[in-house]
Amino acid sequence: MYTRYSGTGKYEQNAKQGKSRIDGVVIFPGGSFDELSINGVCTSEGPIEANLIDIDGVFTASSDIRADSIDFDGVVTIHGNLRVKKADVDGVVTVRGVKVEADYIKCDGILTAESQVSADVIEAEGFINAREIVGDRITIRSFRKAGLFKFVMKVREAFTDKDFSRVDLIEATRIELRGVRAKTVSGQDIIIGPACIIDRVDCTGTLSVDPDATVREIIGVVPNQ
Amino acid sequence: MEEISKKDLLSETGISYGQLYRWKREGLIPEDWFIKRSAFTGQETFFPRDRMLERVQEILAQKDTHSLDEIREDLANKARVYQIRESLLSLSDMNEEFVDSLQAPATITELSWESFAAVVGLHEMTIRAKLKLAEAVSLIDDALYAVASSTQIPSTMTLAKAADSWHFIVASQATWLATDRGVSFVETLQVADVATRIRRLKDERTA
Repeated sequence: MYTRYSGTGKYEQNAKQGKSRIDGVVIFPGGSFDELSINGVCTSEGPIEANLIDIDGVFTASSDIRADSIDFDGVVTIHGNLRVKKADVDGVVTVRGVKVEADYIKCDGILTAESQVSADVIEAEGFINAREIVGDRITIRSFRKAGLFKFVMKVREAFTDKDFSRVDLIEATRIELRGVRAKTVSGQDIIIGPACIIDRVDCTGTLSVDPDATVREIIGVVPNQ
Repeated sequence: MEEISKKDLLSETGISYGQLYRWKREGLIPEDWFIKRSAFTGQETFFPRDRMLERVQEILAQKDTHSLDEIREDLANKARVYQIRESLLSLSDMNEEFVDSLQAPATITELSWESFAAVVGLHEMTIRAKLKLAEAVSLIDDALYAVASSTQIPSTMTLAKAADSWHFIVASQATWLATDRGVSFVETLQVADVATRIRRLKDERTA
């Protein structure tokens, strides 16, 4: 069954839907869906649960979102927690709840979490800002101008914080970072790439630190360079 | 309660960060076992040592033959105590006369393992403090109702006395308790210690 809602105003739905598409300026109560496509300027007032969610436009969720797969292409704010198997972030996503949990996160946009992001695998060519990022394999390559880093840092005012990912704690089995500012990075095998500024690295396996990175303290192993 | 740091846990058990966090996401390790404390280096995470080491071993023993969902269900079942009357008779020092004097077991169908252990521990303290039967029965009934009505995990159980009446205080985390001179703390026990002891007793009896 394909259900299409469009136009302005509030719509009510309580039953588990098939494919649902929401367009225009809409406020809806949330609910349970198979496939949900959100476009336009939308707000959900309750929790959302779905197999597949596709979000374009400007979307505000007032509560938790839980799904197998979510494609974020717009500007999304979630005033709750996010629990997903696979998340693809191409837009700007802000999660204000206490946790973001996933099996896999791909981020080519900007993901900001006010608390912890926990995922098996994170692959980010965009930016991730969070209090903590934890998991198994975390790769964040945020700074695209890395090759020029040394030169450009001499004219520091050319850079603002938005050119870096900022995290308090990154903790995972394998970590590879570029263009990341973090207080603590803990892991088994760690690669600190160019344009990183890290206060403390705690490594139990292999550690590599790029000459264009700044690491203030290293615990555990001697880095390979 | 003895704690173990996250780093020591990984080192002692051989598990990885990835496994630890995956098991947490999947509900195999309760969130409130991740205890954050301020340290010189920032926030550090600790765990209740015995419970955490036991839990990791339980998961490692099953992970190659069972899915995480199956392990979670198995852990949930093991974490509950059913048939409260029979469990009190077999796993505590309460005799049949005492248990049959209680009213709470008739209305409580299940308890968390820690809640059950808290009540067993309280009873042991009442024996050492030589409470009269009626006083002990009343206290244990109140304790059963208290732990059954909460989802909190008991961490400590304290037997206290005020004037001529006996009381208990159950707390969910390491808590500093203070009271006026009219109340005296007779004895406090760590629920985790009782839980470990009676779990071993249960395993021996079912082996």
